[in-house]
Amino acid sequence: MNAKAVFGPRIHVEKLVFSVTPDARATKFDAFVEHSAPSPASRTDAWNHYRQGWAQRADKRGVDLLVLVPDASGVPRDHWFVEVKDFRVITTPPRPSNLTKLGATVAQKVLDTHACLQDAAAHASVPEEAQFSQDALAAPSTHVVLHIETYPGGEHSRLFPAPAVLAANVKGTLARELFAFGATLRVCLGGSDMRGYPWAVEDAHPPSASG
Amino acid sequence: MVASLHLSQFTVFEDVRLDFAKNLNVFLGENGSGKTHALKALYAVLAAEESLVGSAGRSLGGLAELLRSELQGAFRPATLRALIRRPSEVAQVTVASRRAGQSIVRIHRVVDDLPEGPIRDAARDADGVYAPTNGSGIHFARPLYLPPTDFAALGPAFAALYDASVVPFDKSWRALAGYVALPPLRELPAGLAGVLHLLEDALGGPVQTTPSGTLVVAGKDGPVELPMVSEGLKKFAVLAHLLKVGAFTDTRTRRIGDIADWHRELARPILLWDEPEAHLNPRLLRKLARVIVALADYGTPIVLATHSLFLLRELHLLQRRSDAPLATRYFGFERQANGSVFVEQSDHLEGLGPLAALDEEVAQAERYIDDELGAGDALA
Repeated sequence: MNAKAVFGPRIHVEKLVFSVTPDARATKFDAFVEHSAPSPASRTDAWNHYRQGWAQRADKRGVDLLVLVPDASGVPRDHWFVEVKDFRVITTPPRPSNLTKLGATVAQKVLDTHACLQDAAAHASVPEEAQFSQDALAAPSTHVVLHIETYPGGEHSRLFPAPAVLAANVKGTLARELFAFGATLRVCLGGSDMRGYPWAVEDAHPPSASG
Repeated sequence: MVASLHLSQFTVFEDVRLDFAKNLNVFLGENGSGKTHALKALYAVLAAEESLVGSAGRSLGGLAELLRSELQGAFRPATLRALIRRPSEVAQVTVASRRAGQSIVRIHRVVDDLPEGPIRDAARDADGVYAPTNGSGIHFARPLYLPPTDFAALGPAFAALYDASVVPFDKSWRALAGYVALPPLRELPAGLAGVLHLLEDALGGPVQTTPSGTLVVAGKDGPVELPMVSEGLKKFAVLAHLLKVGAFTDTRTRRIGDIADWHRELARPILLWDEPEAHLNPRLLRKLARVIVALADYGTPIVLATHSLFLLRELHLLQRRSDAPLATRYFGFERQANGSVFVEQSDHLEGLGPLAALDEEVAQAERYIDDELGAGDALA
């Protein structure tokens, strides 16, 4: 339970690894990792301020990952809230996808995370968390990214949602929920062109290695 | 241009005011949520105003009669009192223009309770007032109402049937059929020539009128009479003809030349379009979206009601890179628990609450994915 919050260039989220560009700072905010999910113990590397206080107060969940990109002079410029939905993670018995609630769920996580950052900027006991919060809140541009690893079988169906259509539909529901938040929204599909994002994504356990 | 439509105790509306954008207004909502009622109420008042003010020498006091006739023609109720929301006694429809004033029509239920006799004869089920803010002499254009099912293609035959017989068709359809008999303008305004080109390109040729008054599409394999054209393309052909005969143009103000911009705006017909997506394959829907944007760019104020997410997306895609995006407003019609309709309004689609077309697409995807994963019941 004493694991430290993770800050660094490579962040594990579920089955994925996010590698941010050299100028960017990334931190795991509230992400499970695949090897220990779904045990709550896997949250021990989430933010201390979130884990110790914020998450205890109510039914609050944070986004998986935060990324901060400075401008050329080092001043915080872009703050990214990143949430991952990996349809490839199949449990026994299978969990419903809850796709209809996905937009609202992600939106609530973003709002809760934003509220936590405001609290942490003044009260976080871990200096790195306080500093990151202050920098993130000072960044003039805010972005929300939902990274979707597509569900199995979808690519074989002609009638049912091509992943891009799925992404557009989910983005529609997310945009409605976050209309007043003032962030740019993106829904990114796994395996798609990552230009324009300050990170690259790869599988933590490539299928060939895991058999 | 119309600034607002206020519906009070009228059909499904308890008290709703719709504030319109200058260019494009989009009604959204499930079936039975009152979109068509709002379109028809707007049409009825604008058509009455046009009849009243457009003709020189008509008395302003005649508005009530005209409104009664237009409301009866648009809704076809057994009596006008059927348009009053129960248990209210009075329904009211108010249409305000940005510069020209407002029209108010009231429909009274109390007439039903009066005993037979002179008093009842003297009582009116509807009264109306037109209150101009800029003096008289303002010319209003006749609104265009395009229903989901096209009747204009039937042309003169439909007009003759309507005029000679008591038939249960909307008066707006008769007005539309009237345009079919009109000859084409000598010259189409530059802004509309591009719209016509879009339509003729989709049709594969121009729309022409035969000596017998029938519309034909002159394609490369020869003329095809309109009844032989598919329903979707028929819509394009009728629209092309409406453009050519000046339904979207105001010829009278064009001749005047030096005319105030606001006056020109009033004289430009408003297009009320109910489910423009009806009968159209997405490939034609894409062209339809270009037509809608081009018409709005020309200056035609548009109010449309749609269920099509595809059309909404096309309209969005066409405008997102535009230097001068259209002034657009979205209206979300939603039935409340008490049966009345609430209308949310926003300049952004995201600013509205539930959007059935989108939510059902996501719900369908959810059922599919859960079925693929073996979780949940796909048919639930």
